[in-house]
Amino acid sequence: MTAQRGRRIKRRLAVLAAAQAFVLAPLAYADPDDYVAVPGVEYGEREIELRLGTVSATDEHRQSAASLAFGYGVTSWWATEIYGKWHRSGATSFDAIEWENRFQLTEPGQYFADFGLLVEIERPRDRAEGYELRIGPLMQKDFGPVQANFNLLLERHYHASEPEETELGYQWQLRYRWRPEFDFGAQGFGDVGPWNDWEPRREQPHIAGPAIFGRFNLGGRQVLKYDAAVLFKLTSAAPSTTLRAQLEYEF
Amino acid sequence: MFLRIASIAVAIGAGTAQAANEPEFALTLHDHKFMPTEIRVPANVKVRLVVDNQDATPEEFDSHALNREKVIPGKAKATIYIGPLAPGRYPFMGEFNAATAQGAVVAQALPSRLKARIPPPGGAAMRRSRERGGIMQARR
Repeated sequence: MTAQRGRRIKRRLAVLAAAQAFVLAPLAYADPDDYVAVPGVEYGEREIELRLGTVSATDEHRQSAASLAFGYGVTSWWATEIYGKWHRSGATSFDAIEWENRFQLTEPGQYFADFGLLVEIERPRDRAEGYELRIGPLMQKDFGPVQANFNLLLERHYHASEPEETELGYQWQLRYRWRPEFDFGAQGFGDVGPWNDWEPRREQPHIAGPAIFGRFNLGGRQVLKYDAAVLFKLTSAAPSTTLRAQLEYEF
Repeated sequence: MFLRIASIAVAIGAGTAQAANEPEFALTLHDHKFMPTEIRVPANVKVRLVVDNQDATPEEFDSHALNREKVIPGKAKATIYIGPLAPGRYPFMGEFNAATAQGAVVAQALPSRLKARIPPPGGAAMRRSRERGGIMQARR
């Protein structure tokens, strides 16, 4: 790595750190910094990712969450990321370490949809929560300029102090590819409770709302990507408003 | 092993038998430039681009319009599936050398009398089409 390249990277990291310090606010309900995973993997890609989220609920204090990750495309079909996660509800505290793996199962566009697999392992700081495993299929399909994503995710805690059930959640996303710097669409998240014994709908949290996306090519392999959404409650069990944002620096 | 089984299961479920019938078009990357710079494909048909990176360094085929990003190692080939595309122009670039590696896919609607003449992949007519870097031209 040349000295000039090293200085450029340091400047980019300083920008990311400043953004985190400015935006980080108390963290929130469930995983407000969650994002919609996509099945595509880029071989050899290195990335630094910052995710932020804040939630306001009508009868609860505002909560916020943030994650900082380093990711790498190990092969043409496997990408891995390590996250540090923080939570704030009054005071800010380190929340967990997460290891995320995405596997690209099909070549984009080869079949009627693209398929992938997400496998996440999280170790919360609170050891009473044990280990959290989240796993599920990732699906993507293009309808002309519209990219549609839908993911089903099973989540379970192991070695927790209290027995846990396997819960079923989902993520979805519609993205209209208008310009590289600005795409727009919508996102949604939710869960139904235990996968084999769904909770009544009024007890299921479902949120959805408008989203924006974009990327800026910085030259060479360097790309800055963003996506952000404002998500509103669709059910009474969900927080009234969730703001989430993601900034990704690829190099 | 598990991933291989999962991939096979997905391929079977997605209709593997139909995935091999797309017209194929060749794209070469040499000295960080694409050849041809404009590749013409039939509209409303899924096609395969076979990108041959003849440079020693990797390149990333990147197209917002086609919604495709793929890193192609040096001295290697990669297959990129695109379409069906509405008639129009779809730019792409080599992200690692964007100043020189630029190109576009042009999707053209074929007259109905020509649609049946798109040959299956591997035939002599398709090889000639690849050499010309575009779709077959009508005989007059």
